[in-house]
Amino acid sequence: MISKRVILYRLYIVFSIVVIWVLFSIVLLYNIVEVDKVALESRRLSFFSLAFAIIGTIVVGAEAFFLKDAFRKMPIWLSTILRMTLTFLLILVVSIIVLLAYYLFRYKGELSFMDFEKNFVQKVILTPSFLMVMIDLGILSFISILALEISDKYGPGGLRNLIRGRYHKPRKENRIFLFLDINDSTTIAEQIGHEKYFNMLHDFFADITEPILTNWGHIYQYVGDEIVICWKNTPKNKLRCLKFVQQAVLTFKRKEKYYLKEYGVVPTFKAGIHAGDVTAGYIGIIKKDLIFSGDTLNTTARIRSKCHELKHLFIVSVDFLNDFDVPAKYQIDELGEMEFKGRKEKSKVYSLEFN
Amino acid sequence: MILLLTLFSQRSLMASRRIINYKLIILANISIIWVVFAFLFLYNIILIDKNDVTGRSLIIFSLAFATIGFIVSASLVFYLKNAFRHYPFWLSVVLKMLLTFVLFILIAFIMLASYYVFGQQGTLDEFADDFYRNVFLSRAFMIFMFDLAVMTLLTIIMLEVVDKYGPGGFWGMIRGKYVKPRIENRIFIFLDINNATTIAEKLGHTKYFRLLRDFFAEITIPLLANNGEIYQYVGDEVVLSWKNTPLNKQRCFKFLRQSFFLLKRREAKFLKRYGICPTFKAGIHSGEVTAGVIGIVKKDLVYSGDTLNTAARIRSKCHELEETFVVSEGFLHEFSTPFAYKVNEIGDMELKGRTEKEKLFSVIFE
Repeated sequence: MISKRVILYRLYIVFSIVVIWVLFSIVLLYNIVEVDKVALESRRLSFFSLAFAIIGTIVVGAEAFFLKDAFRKMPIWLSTILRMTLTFLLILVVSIIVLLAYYLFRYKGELSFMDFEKNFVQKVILTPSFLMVMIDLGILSFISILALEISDKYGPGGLRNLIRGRYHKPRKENRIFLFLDINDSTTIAEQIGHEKYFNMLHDFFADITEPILTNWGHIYQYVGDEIVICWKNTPKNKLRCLKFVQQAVLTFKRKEKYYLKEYGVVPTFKAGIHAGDVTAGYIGIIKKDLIFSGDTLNTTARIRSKCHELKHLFIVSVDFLNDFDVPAKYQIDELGEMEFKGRKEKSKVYSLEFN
Repeated sequence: MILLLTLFSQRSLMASRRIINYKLIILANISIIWVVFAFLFLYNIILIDKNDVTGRSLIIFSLAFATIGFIVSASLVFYLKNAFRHYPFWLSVVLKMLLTFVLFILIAFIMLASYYVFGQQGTLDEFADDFYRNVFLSRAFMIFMFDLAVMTLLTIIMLEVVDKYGPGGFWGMIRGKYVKPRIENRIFIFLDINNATTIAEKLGHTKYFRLLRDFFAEITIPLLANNGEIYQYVGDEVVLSWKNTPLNKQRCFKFLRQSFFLLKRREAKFLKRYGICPTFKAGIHSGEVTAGVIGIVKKDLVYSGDTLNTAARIRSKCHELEETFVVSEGFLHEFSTPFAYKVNEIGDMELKGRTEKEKLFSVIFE
C-alpha cells in the first residue's frame, strides 16, 4: 500500500545516512591505520569502508522502514536503547554471515561447523578488535537514530535546502498553498475530550502524510488544527494538488472503521487552495525556521475560512485556475467574489467537487 | 587577545546573563560529546596498538580533547555561529572549519610548548624547531587534526540543529517529553508588526523580509532574558509562550516592556537600513492547551486548543480597539499587576463556542 514516492523518500534518507557511516569508517580506520601501519595494508581501507557501508545500509534500512514507527509512542532515549539492542543483534547476525561467507570463499575451507565455530568464536568474537568495532557501530547506530529524528523535524528536503543554502537569502517564489482543516474541530474536541482529540489529530495528520508524499507536497506548517501544504506553482503540481485532495478524501473513507472504533467519529476536512508569490527565507536566531511570507498566505487562510461560510468543502481561487485545464473528473463551479488582501478588485472563487 | 576580550565585554553588556547561561549549557553539552568521542577515538588506537599508549594517557587524551573541544565550541557558540549567517550553510561550514583549524594549531602549539618548557625544561627556541619537525609533520598529528575536524563538523551541525528545535526543544525531544500528549496551562503572546502590509508594499517584499528577520532577531534578546519560548512563526506573526505561573506572567510583561524600549533604542539603525522603524502590537491570553508532537515526515510540537484561537482573536482586537497591548481577563486572574504597568478595562469579546464573554484590558507602561 506504500506508494513509490514514500519508498523513494525513505531510500534517500537511508542513502544519506550511509554516507555518514562510510565517512566514519574512514575516520575510524584512519585512526587505526596510521598508528599500526604494519598490521593493515592500504587495500583494506576500501574493504573496511565497504563492510561499513553494507552493515550501515542494513541497519539504517531496518531503522527507517520498520523500527522507527514501532517505537513511536516511546520517549526517544528508551526507544534508542531498545533499537540499539535490536540493531546490535542485527549487526551480530550480519557480521557472522559476512564473515562466514568470507571464510568459506576466501580460504576455501570446508563447511565444517565445528571448525568454523572454533575459529569464529575464538578468533573473532572474543578479540578486542571485534569489541571495538561493535562499540564503533553502536555509536554510529545512535547517530543514525538521532539523524533520522532530526531529518523528520526538518521534513523532506528541509535539511538539503539548509545545507545547499537555498534560502539563505530571502527569495521570491511562486507557490501553491493548500490550507486544510478538520471540520467541526471544536465540537469534536468537546465531545471526546482534549487528550483523545489530540490523539485523533495525530492519527489524522499521520494518515494524510501518505497522499501528501505521493503527490510531492511539502508540509509547510501545522497551525493549531490546521495543516498548510505547498507546491511550486507549475501546471503539473496543480494537478497533483487536486489529486492529493481526492486521495486524502478516499484515505479517510477507507479508514472510516478505524476512526469510528477508536474515536466514535470520522474526521472530514475542508480546504482552501490559492497560488501566488511569497518570499521564502530563514527567520529567527534561537529558533530558526524556514518561513513563507506574503499576502498569498493570508488570502489562502481567508479562502479556507470561506468554506464554512459558503458551505463547500473545497474552495479554489481564480489564481490557482489560471493557465490550467482542469481534468473532466474534477468539477469546478463559480461561487462568487471575495476581497483579496492587498488587491483592489474582488476576485472570483470556485468550488471543487469530484465526479 | 585584547581584541577578543573587548569584544567579549561588549557582547556581555548587551546580552543578559540568561543568554550567556543558555549558551553555556549548549557549550557544556557539546564538550561532553567531545569527551565521549575522545574515548572512542583513543579506544580505537589503544586496542590496536597497546604498547604505544599507556593507560594513563587515556585521561590526558580525554582532557586534551575536552579542553580543545571547549575552546572550539566556545568560539563557535559565542562568535562564529552568527558570523557567516548570510552565506549558504556549506560555505559557512567550510569557512568555520578553516578558522577553527587555525585555532587548533594555535592551541596545540601553546599546549605543547608549555608542556615542553615546563615539563621537559627546554628552551623555546629548541621547541619551535622540534615542534615543526617532530610534531607538525608527524602522521599522528595529522590523524589528530583529522579527528578534530570531524568533531568540529559535528559541533557545527549540532549547533544548527539545536537552533531548529529552540531552547529546551532538543532536550525535550530526547527525553520524549511530548510523546504522549499532555495538558498544560500556558501563557501565549501573539505578536505582530504594525501595518505589515503597508510596510511590505513600500519596501518591496525582499527588503520587507529582511526587516522581519531583523525585527525577530532583536526581540530574541528580551525573550531569552525573560525565559520565554518561541512557539511558532505564522506569517508575519510570532507566537511566544510561557508556562502559566505568576512569575512568568511578570516576565511576560517585562518582555513586552523590554522589547518595546529595545526597538526604540534601535530606531536609528532601522531608519538607516529600511527608512522605517517597526512597532508591534500583542495579544496576551492564558489557559489550557494540549501539547504533543505531531506528524510523521515532518514532526513538530503542537499546542492545540481554544486558548490559541482566543489569543489570536485578542491580537486582532488590538487593531480594532486601537490599543498596542491587549490582555484577557483569564491572564490577569490571580495576578496583581506590578506598579510600572497600567491596566485598563476596554471592553469584552465573544468566545467561540461559549456563552460568557471575555473581558479585555489594555496595558500601558508608566
